[in-house]
Amino acid sequence: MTFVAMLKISLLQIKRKKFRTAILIVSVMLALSLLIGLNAGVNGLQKTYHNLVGTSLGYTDLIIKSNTTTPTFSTQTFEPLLHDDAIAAYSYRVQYWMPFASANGQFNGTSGGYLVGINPQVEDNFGSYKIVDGDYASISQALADEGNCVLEANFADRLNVHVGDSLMLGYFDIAEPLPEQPSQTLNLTVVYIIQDYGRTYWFDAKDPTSFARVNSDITVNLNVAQALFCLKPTDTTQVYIHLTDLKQARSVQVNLQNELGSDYVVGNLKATMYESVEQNFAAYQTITYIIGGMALMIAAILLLNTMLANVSERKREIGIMRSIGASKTQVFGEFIAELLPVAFVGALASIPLSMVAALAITSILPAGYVANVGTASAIEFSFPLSTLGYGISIGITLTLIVGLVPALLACKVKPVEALYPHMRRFHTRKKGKILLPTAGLAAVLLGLLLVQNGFSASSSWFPTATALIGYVATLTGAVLVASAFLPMLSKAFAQLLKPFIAQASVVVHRNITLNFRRSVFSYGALAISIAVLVSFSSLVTTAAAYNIAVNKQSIGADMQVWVNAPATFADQLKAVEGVQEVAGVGYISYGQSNMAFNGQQQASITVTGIASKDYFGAIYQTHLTDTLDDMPAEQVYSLLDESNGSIILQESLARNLTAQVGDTIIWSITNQTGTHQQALKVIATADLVAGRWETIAHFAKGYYTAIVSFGDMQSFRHALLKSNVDEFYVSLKPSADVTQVVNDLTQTCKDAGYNPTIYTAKDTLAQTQASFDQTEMLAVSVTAFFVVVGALGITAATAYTVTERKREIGVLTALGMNKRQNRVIIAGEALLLALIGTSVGVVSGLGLSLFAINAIPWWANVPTPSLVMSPFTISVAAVVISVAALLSAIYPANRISKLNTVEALRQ
Amino acid sequence: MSTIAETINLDKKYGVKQLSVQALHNINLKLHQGEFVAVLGESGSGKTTLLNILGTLDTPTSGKVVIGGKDLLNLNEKAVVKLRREKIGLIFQFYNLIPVLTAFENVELPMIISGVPRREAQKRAYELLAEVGLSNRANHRPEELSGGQQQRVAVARSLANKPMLILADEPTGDLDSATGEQVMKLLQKLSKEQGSTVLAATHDASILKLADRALRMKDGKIVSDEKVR
Repeated sequence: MTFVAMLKISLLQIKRKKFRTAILIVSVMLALSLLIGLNAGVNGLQKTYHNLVGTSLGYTDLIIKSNTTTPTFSTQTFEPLLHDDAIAAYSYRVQYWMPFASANGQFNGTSGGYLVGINPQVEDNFGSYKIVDGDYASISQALADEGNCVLEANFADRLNVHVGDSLMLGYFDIAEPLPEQPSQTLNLTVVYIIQDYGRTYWFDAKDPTSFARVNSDITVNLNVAQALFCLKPTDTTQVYIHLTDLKQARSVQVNLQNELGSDYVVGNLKATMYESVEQNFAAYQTITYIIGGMALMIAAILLLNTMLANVSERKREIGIMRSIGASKTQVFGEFIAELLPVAFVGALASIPLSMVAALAITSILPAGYVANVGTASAIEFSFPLSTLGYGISIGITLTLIVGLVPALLACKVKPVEALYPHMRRFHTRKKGKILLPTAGLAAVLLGLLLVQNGFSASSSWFPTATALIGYVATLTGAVLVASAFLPMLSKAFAQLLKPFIAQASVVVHRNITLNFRRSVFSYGALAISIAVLVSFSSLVTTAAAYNIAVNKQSIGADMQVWVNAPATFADQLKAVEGVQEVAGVGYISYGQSNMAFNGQQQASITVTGIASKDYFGAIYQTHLTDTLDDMPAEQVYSLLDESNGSIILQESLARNLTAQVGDTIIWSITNQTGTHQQALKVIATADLVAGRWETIAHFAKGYYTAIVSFGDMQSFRHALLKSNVDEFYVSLKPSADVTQVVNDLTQTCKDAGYNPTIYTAKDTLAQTQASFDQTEMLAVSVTAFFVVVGALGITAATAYTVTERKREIGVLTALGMNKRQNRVIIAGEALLLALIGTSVGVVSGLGLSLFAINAIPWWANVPTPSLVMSPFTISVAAVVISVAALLSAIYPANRISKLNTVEALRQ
Repeated sequence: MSTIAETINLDKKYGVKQLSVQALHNINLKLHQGEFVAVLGESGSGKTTLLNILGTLDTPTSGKVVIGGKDLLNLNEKAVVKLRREKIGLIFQFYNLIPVLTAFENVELPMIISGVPRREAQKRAYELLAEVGLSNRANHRPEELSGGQQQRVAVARSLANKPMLILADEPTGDLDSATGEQVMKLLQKLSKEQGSTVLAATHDASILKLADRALRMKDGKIVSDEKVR
């Protein structure tokens, strides 16, 4: 028999078995679409962030900053160093905290901001921005006039200034003692309001790899900034550098650093950010490969099972072929040839669906936050040909590899046995029945170990690549372990068929148990897919519930009203209908404050200054771990109501300082004019305040905090030119209408001349919930794909058994079974397999989720969550599984209705 | 003797127009209670078609079929299935046992389908297996039985619901002559005991020795119908 003849037979088979060929093609197509679509989606996300870095930083590849207590330095020092072929352009800047900024000429209750002095001649190339308001074509043009300034939109909103308004900036000479009012003022015209994509970055000289966005900036001409801070024209605070080739960033950074010495820090901004993006997305890509791989694995099981059933069904045909002279190789070739169109058509058909999947994923993917790059507003659609290419190659190769097993079995069929169907033998290998569950148990243990390690190595609920591989191993293992219970499960579920076919349900049960391999493959594919759906979605919903609990604690109160106002303003806010408690607080941020006790020092401490003991009523929770003379909490809070030099220390901070209640610690801050310090007595330690302190274990590392009365903070606030409180914590009465309260609070602030920013716990929690809902939707949509593919596997395998069991059905008819009962026999088998798959899937999925929940290092000090399944997931799962079960039963049952008994008995 | 099955002017054609094949032509036949009737004829003579129509597995193109006093043409699908279930037993050349069931379950199956109470069905299945000498093979599946044993199980199965008519299509076709004869003797004995009529299509002349009556068929027609005992 020639190859062409063989191919003809294969094509005839495909033509004859249109439906099953279609199922195979659809399964390959679905799995590949998921793989390619997911990858393309993540590619889009990566590209978006890549572009975001490029847009934000523009030409800025490296930044030079002073590493001494003097932030300014002379450009003359290293001007010659910048004349290097590797450096395409550079720009000097002056960036300083601008303490006085006012639209009304008064500096009471005004806001400060970062003043950024730029060189208009080159600046347009050093970052990207969007014009919100203003008539100039560019920042360079706007700032060519030294009387103009450009405001960042949020800052303009806070100051309530618009284009055309006059902005008064106040300054003082660094050499002066700290003034109450600026020694000099300058009026500038606001000509431009921009949305800054991050053209201005600040980095910590102590840690050149850490960057932060500079928000609330006022951009002015470099000359103005230099004059404002009494600097010489050659003085600068930062040098922005653009390289001819970013690849040289590392070497140029090292060279410059060597030349400049330790008085300067050269930050490799752009390359570091790109690396951060690459690192983030390398992990995502791996995860998409594993998820896509899982889909392919399910499709491969389907393919394998269907082709094995195909061989079983066509044994007679194989016998005839062999008896008329076909060699084993030719039989092998015929079966492989049958898979070629499935592989190619499936792969090609996946192209449009992949694009749809990529589009869907792109639109669903949460536009997250990467390092300090920022938040992307929308994810770019990306569909690289390389992704498509490797996806299709994988699909075709895998299909053909999977096809090897049934093709090899086909060529091993014994012609004599094949030609006499009544001589059919069940190859029930007892060894396999013991080996499979044993191997399964090993896979489950290995998988769980990987899940445990995968989660404990990360600091998030999101599964790492290792954890995902653990998922695959555990679920595959669970399916194999369940094979030990197959007879029991099938017998139990067969009882459901008794109302329709009475004791004949034993035929269904026996067919399932005797066709062991086919049954394990069939329920296995569905079980894995359902388990993936259950475990992933329950993981997301559990993480959502946990995050909500953590966020609720972290927010600390029902509302936070950010407004720079005197502490007494709390009384006005408290008068608003629905408000229970209000307390103003001021902060001294970590970069400026340090504490010392008995020779121990701790830097970077954020201190909260409370303007009244009402603070403890306004926030959700405080947990004092120790108090002076065992005084009750109320007494501790009362002590903080007055300026008497008391402090509550975060427990870990007290531990680091080796300080205990009753000890006196020294708190100090450093500003431009020197170091200021005061002594405070530790009256209590706490591990939980407003949910923030020790609760966030992951973030607590390096985060130290304490509470003092606002009065005790006043002198430091003055040193930092801050006299008002920064925000007010607000608790609400149970009956309060949150929206109405927000409106009333806003109005109260505006009536007093303030422009507040109000965060409500309700909104923040809703945002968190919405973000998780999105993730849950993504998880359910992706995993629902799996379930459909798994169900198709049962349909395809059962459909094949109809042909194989025509004679059996004929006999049952001859014995008096009616068509309905015959349909129940066949559809019942599919339904039973679907039920077994669902049971195994749900149990293993929930079991795995419970294990994962215990393996995840939940980061906060709220109770470890219990498993949560959302109504959405349960409904989607129920619908998808029911549809899948029906789908798997309808087609085979339909085929039975068309069976001709006489023909069936002749076979 | 009462008539338990009758065909009147029975015709059966397969295919359409020029391609049609006249499988049965003007068959008029009466089967009486307790008779053992052998149907002889070459391949293609219409033996199997006749059995299939009498077994309600196939329908005639024209003519009338009456079984147990009921005209099949007047019965709906449900009634036909009930008739087949309760009044007819079938035996096939290749035994056609359900491969996934044991010998015992195969015998029990027709009674289960007919709604015979489980205990009663089990008791009768054991009795029938004992009658065909296979009590010790009750829990074996067909693949674990020899051809003769399988056909004996098929005989027991055909008798399970005490049918009025047993139709056997080449029951010895796959057996050696000695085994075949043994099986047929068993069928004859058991059918006589419960008063069933047997219509057995065969090439095997040895069956004639057991038959009360012999029908010879050729080209879809009954060419002779004679008493042999």
